[in-house]
Amino acid sequence: MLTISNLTKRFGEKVAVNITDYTIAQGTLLGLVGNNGAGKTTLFRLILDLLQADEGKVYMDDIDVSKSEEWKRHTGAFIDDSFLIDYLTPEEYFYFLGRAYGLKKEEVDARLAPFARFMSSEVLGQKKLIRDFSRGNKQKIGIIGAMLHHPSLLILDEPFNFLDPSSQSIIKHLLAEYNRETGATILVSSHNLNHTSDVCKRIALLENGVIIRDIDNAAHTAEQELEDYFSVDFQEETSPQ
Amino acid sequence: MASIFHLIGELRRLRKIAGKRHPMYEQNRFAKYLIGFSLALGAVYLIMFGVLFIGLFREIFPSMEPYHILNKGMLYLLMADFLMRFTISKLPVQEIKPFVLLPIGKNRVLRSYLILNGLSGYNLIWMFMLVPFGFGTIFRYFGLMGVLGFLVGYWLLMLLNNYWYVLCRTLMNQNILYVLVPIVVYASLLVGLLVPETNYIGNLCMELGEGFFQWEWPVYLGLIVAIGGMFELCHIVQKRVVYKELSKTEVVKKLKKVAEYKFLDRFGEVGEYMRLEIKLLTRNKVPRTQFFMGLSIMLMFSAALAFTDVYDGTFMRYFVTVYNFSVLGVLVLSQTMSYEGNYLDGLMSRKESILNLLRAKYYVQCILLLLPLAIMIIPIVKDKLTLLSALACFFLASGFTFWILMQLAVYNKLTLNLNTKVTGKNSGGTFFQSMIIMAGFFGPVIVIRPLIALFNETTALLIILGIGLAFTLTHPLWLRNIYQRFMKRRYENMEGFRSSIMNN
Repeated sequence: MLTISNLTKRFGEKVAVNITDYTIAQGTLLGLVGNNGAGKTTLFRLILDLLQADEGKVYMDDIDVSKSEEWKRHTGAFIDDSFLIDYLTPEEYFYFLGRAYGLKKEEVDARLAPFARFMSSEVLGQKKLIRDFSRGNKQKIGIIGAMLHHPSLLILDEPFNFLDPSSQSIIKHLLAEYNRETGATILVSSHNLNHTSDVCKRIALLENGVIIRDIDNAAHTAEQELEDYFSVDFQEETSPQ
Repeated sequence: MASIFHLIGELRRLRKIAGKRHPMYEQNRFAKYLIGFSLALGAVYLIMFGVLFIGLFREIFPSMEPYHILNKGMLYLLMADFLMRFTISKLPVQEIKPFVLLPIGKNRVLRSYLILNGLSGYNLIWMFMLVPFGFGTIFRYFGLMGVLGFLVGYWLLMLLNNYWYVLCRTLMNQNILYVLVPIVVYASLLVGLLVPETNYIGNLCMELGEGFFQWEWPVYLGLIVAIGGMFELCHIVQKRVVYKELSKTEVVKKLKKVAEYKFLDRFGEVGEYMRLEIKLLTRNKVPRTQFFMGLSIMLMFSAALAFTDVYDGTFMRYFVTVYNFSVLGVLVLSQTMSYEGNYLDGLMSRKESILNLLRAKYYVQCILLLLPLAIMIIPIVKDKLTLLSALACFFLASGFTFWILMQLAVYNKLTLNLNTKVTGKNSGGTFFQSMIIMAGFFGPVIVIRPLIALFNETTALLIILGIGLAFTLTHPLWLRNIYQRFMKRRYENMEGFRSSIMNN
């Protein structure tokens, strides 16, 4: 279970995150949506202890993430390219991660097998360094790297970015299946309302660092509500003053 | 259209702002005071040299005026200046990307950067030595105008050397083999200077210097033409490199063989990080270039120590030995975490990964110490160095020097591009790093000298060996201490690394 308690992060005058109390039960597949600057990535960084909160705490089960590193064994995340060691080949990177979690080479190979379609013969066996891959393939490597050790908490920031339509569809399927099979908690942020409402059972709408709506999407009914919220009346916006 | 002066002013302003908003500004400010103090000390030394040279040259060469001797040895001064630029001056970069789509001529921007480089205060540093020397020797014969001519002439020479350095450094950044260009040029000039029968070059330098204080216009004209030529050459080379980078014409090369370093498997997680460290050093342009540069310097110093008598004095002998054992460590360990800043978020989301990383970095550097040890066998065999001195310096490096350098893991918070391009942002070392590097290089030599003076050489070396061994054997303790201090500062450092990640 992930618990956020009185969490505040400011950048100068701007309040980037301000969440009083929020609990995410184990096994939830939560989508985080919001406009640019709403605080989605900042919230993820706070959860992962990559940023210092001004106030408040994040607990994974009973562990304060800023006080212990124990939670790291069961957590997987991909936020951006700064999670990739780009002078390694994808295989080397996966084996490196595997070793960090005590996995043997054969185990890593076995765990990569379900991602074969997602990688579509463009990632493995290329003898290329990660830095020489396209943005889309880097994104795939990062996502797989985060899931390789079967974490019980998976955090992905904008996982659909840079992916081609087929890969977007595959990753949606993979995430839903992973959640169903392992009971892992998955947090996904995205600007794509369609994908988010397709895959997530619960959706949090973040604006100016505050969770303003917590939508139950078990019946996949959130899309309309989200579209209504984000739609802009162009007539009104563009009409001369 | 903006005038070139306006553009230079604007670029200067941008650099100033970049300095002020540097993520390491706080440390930089502290380090700046210390560096300022060291520079003041350096200036005092240069003034002292300026005064001392007058008497010294008069004593050794009574039949000649001291300024003749200085002019004759002009090449040594230029060589010293060239070498010093490697330690102080940053890699010449052209932050041209933001200007590419603006209605400003691209050549104009490139030239403005070069002019800015020429106007750097560094080109005036030797004036601390030349002003007292000029007033002590030239003034009485040629008056104030003579001294002024002498100073202007030498400033122009330094300007020429500045662009020569920019040219060499830009080429070397493309391919390390270009290091041969300055080596061949200086070696040929030295041969010309040292051949006693002809001594054309020495005489030419003397004529040139005399032309300065006598305000001979052909001398100035020749020098200005040479500076202009070198400036244009720099411009042409930089333009080619910059546009090659901007158009990204490089073809992605596939690896022929993916090295696995299987023997490291037996060292568990630390072995995995050692593998990572080896790949960091071998697959990225910046650390790879630095490695070969360090190795070349090491070989040159060892050869000079073994086959010539230039480093036969106690101070220089120990400086060269300490330098050889420290140089590779200095180049890599002073950047601890700065290289890793490129993927630190990924590392930080894994337990104790930083501790294992620090251990791996330390062990790899200790293994690399075998290289200078092997190279130093030549001076040992030639009886220029004792085995005890080599061993003492070996452990001094693995202990004291690495300990002091790895402290930077706590304070570095600026991501360094692993494959810096000429068009990249200026991400060179910081003042704080320079300070620690200087402590790593000069600290041991400063300690060795008084120890030798207090005891005999063998006892002094045994003490040094003891200190080195103590630091080496206690490495698990101090590495954990560094890790704990890093973790305390992690948020501040991660913010710095994140904000300074380069746009490739």
